[in-house]
Formats: sequence, C-alpha cells, structure tokens
Amino acid sequence: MSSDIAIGIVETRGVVALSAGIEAMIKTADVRCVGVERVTSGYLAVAVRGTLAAVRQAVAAGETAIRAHGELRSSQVYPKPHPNTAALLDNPETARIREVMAGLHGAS
Amino acid sequence: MRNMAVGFVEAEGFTPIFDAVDAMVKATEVEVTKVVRLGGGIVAVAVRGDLATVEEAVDIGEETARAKSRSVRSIVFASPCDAVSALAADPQLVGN
Repeated sequence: MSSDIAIGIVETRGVVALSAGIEAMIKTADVRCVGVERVTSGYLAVAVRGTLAAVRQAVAAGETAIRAHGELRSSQVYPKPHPNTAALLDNPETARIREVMAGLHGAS
Repeated sequence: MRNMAVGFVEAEGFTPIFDAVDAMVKATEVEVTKVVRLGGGIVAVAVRGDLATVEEAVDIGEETARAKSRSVRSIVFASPCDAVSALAADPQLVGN
C-alpha cells in the first residue's frame, strides 16, 4: 500500500550496536528491514521501511538501544522518499539480507 | 517458529576475538557461524545455539577478549527477529 513508504536509517559502529538497533526497531513498531549497508571502517547502516508513525517510533527506540550498546553515528527518517532514492536501498547488496531472512525458516 | 538464540562479540584486533572463539568453543557447544572483519580494526564473531549456551559462551568470550583488547562489546538475543538472525546466520552481510 502506498502509505508505508517512509524510510528510517540508523548508522552505527560495530555489529553489536547495529543488531541491538535492528532488534529494537523491528520489535517496537511495524516496520520491515529492507537492507543493511556496509560503510567502511566499521560503520554499518540499516534501513527500515513502514508508515511514517511506525518508522519514527522505531528509529527512536533504535537510537536508545544503540546508545546503550555502542556508538550511534547518525539516524534519519525520510517521510516521503523519492522512488529513485528508495531504489538506492534496493540494490543487490541490500537484497541479500532479505534472501537470508527468507531462507531462515524455509531451510530448517 | 522462533529463531534460536544469537550472540555477537566484537573487539578491536583479530587475536582478542580469536582467543574468545577458542575459549567459547572449548567451554560450550555453541555454534560459531563466522568471524568477520568489519573494517576499522573491528573484528566480530557471531554465535548461535540455545539461550543458556549462547549466554555462557558470550560471557566467556567477552571476558577472554577483554584481557587483550580494551574495547570489547557483546550482546545476546534470546529470540531475535529475522533480520538479526540473518546477520548471525550470514555475518558476511556486515563484514568479510
């Protein structure tokens, strides 16, 4: 549906902080993880997508979780990203996490 | 179907994590999926298994790594969401 196009991105240093952030975001609000980006020198970013309210709630929760476990480099909510911008998050590298997620339950 | 428990331990430098992995697999039968280099000197390891094993392993791993490296971080997820389980199942998503 068209209303869940808001995107939230948080960037952390280290996978411990990143996983804490992802866990908090997914479990706080109805958002889905659309991609994980590897920025160099240990910085990692994750993008979640959903309705604006859900994304805002998720990013807020994610920030607190990340600060508790490591370094929060930056976070941003995009209420209405342009399709081309959103497409930046749908490249082969970010698609891999979706394949692995799908395979989690399929395989076992 | 709930995902199994997952843990991450990360430190600056390879040897602290290598020591941690060695200690973890000796002390518990946790499954070490992979050791990955995140860049910036950070090396991380992902472990999976049932909750008690993972908690025990991560405690031991962090303690061992802390002896050698100053900044060591670890986390345990009792029933992680799919995205976090995916990171643990295939840590190459965040490192190589």
